[in-house]
Amino acid sequence: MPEEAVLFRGTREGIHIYLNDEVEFPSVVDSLEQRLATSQNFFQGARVVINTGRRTLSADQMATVSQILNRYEGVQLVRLEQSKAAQKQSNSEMTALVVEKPVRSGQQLYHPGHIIVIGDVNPGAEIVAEGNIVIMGALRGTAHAGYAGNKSAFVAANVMAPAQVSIAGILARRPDGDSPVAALEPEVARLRGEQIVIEPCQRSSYE
Amino acid sequence: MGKAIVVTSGKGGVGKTTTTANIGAGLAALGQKVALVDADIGLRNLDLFMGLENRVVYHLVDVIEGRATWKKAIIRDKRLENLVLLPSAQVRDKDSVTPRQMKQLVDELKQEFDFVLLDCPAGIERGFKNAVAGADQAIVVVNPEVSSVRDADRVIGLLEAEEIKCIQLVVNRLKPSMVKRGEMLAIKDIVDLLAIDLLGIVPEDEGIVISSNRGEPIALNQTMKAGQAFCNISRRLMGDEIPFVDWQEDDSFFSRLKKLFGIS
Repeated sequence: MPEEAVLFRGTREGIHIYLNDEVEFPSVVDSLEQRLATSQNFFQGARVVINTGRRTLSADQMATVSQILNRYEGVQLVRLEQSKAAQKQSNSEMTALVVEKPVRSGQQLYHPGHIIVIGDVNPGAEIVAEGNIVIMGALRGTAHAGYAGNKSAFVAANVMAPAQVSIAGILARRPDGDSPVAALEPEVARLRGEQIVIEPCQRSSYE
Repeated sequence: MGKAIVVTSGKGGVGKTTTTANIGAGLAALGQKVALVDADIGLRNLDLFMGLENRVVYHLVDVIEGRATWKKAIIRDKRLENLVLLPSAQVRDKDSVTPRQMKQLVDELKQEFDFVLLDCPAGIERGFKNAVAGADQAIVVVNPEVSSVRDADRVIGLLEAEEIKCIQLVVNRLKPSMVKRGEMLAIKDIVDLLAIDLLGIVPEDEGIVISSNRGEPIALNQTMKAGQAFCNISRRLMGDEIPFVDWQEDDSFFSRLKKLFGIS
């Protein structure tokens, strides 16, 4: 008997949904739809973690999955993760996309590896990488690092003034109020536990 | 062979048509042969700014659809004999024309004129694509406001995607007193963010409203601040190096007096 394409498991955090990485993506989507449809009540208001195994979801595939989840009221996608093995492999083997001009409002960059921008990322622009993001300029738009669930990913920028930053699906947004006062030194955003922390790239030895 | 320059902004109401009319008049006053093309099909305005509305017989869509040649459709300006306008159609819409047809028309005009200025509609859809299709260069008009700068940034990205290499910035409606109080975006912040060359700064001037209602480009009136600013832009387009006037400077009688005595 073939292994199931989708597996559900309840945890303290909510419901973990494992998407079998050995089954073709369309059939995974089909069985996800079926399973959710048969147990609708069960999922109402549930917090969901999706584990993609060794598979890395593309932006389109991710959109398909979240569309399906959005059909159920109150279902909240907490996190997207990969199996440990996949994470280890990815960081060192990822390629980097290098962009040598400003990323402007309405432009979106996606790369299944690291992204390096030589220039500014303006408000309204979006950078999505499965690995790390490095901006040699000002980050004023939105940056998503570790998009496929890599929690060790980071976002670094010469001027860190983003609208939003997310790492492995955990989001931080700029506080409301006046325009942000960015530090005059390069900063890096990392995940500490379940929180995004922004700190200088290099700590002064005087401190 | 002349240059085709599209005047665009993304956001509406920032002064694209005013800028087109005045830069065109400025260039013509400097002796250039200039064609203004109103590419805002369905919302015809440029003829009003030039005071030529009751002379419109044929329009851009007529030319594209072969009912008239461009030579028949253009309207010669009342004041400047080397300035002409190709008006847009008021009764048609943006879908009446394709980018390819526009490019063909602009290429023909470029044979005859030194400058072809295209007044682009607001937005980034079909009308924008039409206006941009034949352009060699672009002028992006921006007001010192966050929303206008954001839209301009988007438009610059689209222009770059269209392989337009020379994109220059005009900051329109600058209120020096507000910049001074820190209530308006400063020129430097805008230029830093958009990362393109500055072509000119036009201060807010009530004379603009009056002149456009009268259909007389303010660029022909050197006594007005905005008129001066538009003339400087036209001269920079011709390759002259003109320093930027610091409109932020307060040139009231008292401040000049203070400067004289070295207190300010």
